[in-house]
Amino acid sequence: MLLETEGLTKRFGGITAVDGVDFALETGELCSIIGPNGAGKTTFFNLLTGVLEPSDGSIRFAPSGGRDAGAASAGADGTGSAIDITTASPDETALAGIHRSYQITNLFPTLSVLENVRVAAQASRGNDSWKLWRNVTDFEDHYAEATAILERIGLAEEAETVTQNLSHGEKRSLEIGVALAGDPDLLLLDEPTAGVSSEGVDEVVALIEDVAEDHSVMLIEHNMEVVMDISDRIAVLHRGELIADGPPEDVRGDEDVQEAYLGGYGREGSADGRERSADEGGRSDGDAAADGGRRVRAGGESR
Amino acid sequence: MIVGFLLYPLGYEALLATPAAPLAETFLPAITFMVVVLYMGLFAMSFDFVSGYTGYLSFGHAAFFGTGGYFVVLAANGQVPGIPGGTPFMITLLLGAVVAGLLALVIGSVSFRLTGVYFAMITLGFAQVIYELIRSWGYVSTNPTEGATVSGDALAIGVPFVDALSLDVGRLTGESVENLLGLGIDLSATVVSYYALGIVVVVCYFAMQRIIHSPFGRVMIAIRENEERARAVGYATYRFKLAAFAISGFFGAVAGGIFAAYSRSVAPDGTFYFLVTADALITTIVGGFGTLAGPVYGTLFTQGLEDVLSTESGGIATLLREELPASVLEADLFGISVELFVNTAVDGRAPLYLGIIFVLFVLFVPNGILGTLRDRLGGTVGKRLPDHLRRYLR
Repeated sequence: MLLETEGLTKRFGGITAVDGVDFALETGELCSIIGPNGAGKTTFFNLLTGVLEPSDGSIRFAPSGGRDAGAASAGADGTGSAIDITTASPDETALAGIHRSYQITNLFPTLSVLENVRVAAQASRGNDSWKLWRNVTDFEDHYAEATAILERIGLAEEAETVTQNLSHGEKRSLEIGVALAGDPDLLLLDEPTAGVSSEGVDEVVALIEDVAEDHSVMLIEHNMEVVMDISDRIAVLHRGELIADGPPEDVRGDEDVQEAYLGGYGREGSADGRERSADEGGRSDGDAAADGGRRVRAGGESR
Repeated sequence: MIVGFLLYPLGYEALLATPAAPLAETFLPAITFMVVVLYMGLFAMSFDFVSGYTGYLSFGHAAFFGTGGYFVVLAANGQVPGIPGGTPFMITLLLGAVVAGLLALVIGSVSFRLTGVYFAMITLGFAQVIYELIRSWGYVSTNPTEGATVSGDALAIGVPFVDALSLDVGRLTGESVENLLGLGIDLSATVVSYYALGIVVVVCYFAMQRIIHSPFGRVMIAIRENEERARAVGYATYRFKLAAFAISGFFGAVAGGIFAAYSRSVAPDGTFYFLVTADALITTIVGGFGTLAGPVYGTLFTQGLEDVLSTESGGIATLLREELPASVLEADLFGISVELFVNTAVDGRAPLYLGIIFVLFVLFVPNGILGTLRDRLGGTVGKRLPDHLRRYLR
């Protein structure tokens, strides 16, 4: 078991954004988290990464024994080395091995693309960041890792570009690249295709599939085709509660899920329209509060 | 920049011996002003170090300047427990800076729980509390609102305990050097102080520059750019901010220390007062936020303006009074004579024009002198200038 939550709950005043979620993730899985807006998906990520402190419940994380030693060797006996990250801060969860990308692009805007990834790679190299007297260009391993990641996410040619000048799709890829630079055991991707044009989605999806080869991934995604296509498992949140959790085909057939969210995806051919309206209707304040109210409606332009 | 620093006094003195002397005296800052540029430039750099690179405006920075200044003066008078009166200035300067660094840790440990304007306000609050305390602390001197004065010998910059490698500083008490290294160059006390202080400033500049270019400096920039993401990739930003603040306080105190050594006295209003921070803020904005060297140019700019508009050494008012024919001076201008107009609107009115220029800078040159220059050149001046020069020379 890589990650395990027990009765995880987050209340904002009267609103319960995440409500008693028991969730577990195996090493190597790609698990999608779906649910209408306001269901508590991003809040769930914020709890896992320590941005928010749970009102109740616990989170345990069991990264692969010696980090960097080889992710594959972790697994069955992982419970022995599990650490409690319920009250850990964002930097502590990151160093423990949980890294995330953001729904709204959240990069270092005036730095170069390479430096965005490099500074993230530097973070996982502990004491390097406290070497006040060494020139940063001496640390060739930082640059080597950052360059390798840029090649992987297809931005090698843009290495020297100032990040704010990238196209939206490129920024979405860089989001994932920065998360990868921390050498994560668990990667949380929050709507990586948000706002990406339909042609661009394929590229991002290909990148996610590539990354999922050697990482455990949790993915928040609204594009049902993508979710059904690439997930090993799907968990459905509705009003903060986990109402379904299983392989894509089981979740697709689940009546509750149909009711709450899917709007008939799989029963009828095209469900996009109804899904969108469910989106809008179900939107409550949970996620908005979690994001400090500056949330932009993802994918809203297609309405 | 360094070359300019080394040659300026010699060039200035040389110009004064030529027919262009009145113009040089008018439009070039005198050495006494250049000394101010040095210590205020260093102070502004230390302000920019934390404010320009981590994005946290240290509005209480005067507290560190004052700590450095007072420590040096009190130590010279033997008033700091554990430090005997004759301790070399270089050692007390370093100790004062360390004390200021520790003070920064204390102030920062509380202040860095806040962000944005709240951080600026609470640091300002701390500094004002210390200012009030110092103003009424009888231990400092019999009249604490007037500050304290060094009663003993001049303070020397150089290698401690090696007289030949130390230079006394101070406008009146400083050493003057005759026939430097047999080159036939005489240096006045002010010029010697200029070089001695300058060496300290240059060393501090390179030290801060080095830290900015280290992995630690990159974390500072990451915090400025996006603190949320910096935490998310694994930086305990609180600790990094605290360390940057302490380093900044350290160098701010060095600036205060060399100021005290040069002026031989410190007063609460010239050190701990919040307008001292404001000076650093203004020069940093004029010179360029987050450029480190920019604040020195900003200080040069503002001090240059002050020199031109004051009558302490030359200045426009003096020039006009001397050079304009009497008929013009007595001519009527909006009901007053031109001479009266010069006296009221030009002489010593630097703060007024500085205010106007500051507003223009904020509106039209928001990146400051050096920031704009770097944007235009596409990199730091040192790296890009050779290429550009080559292009023009071809």
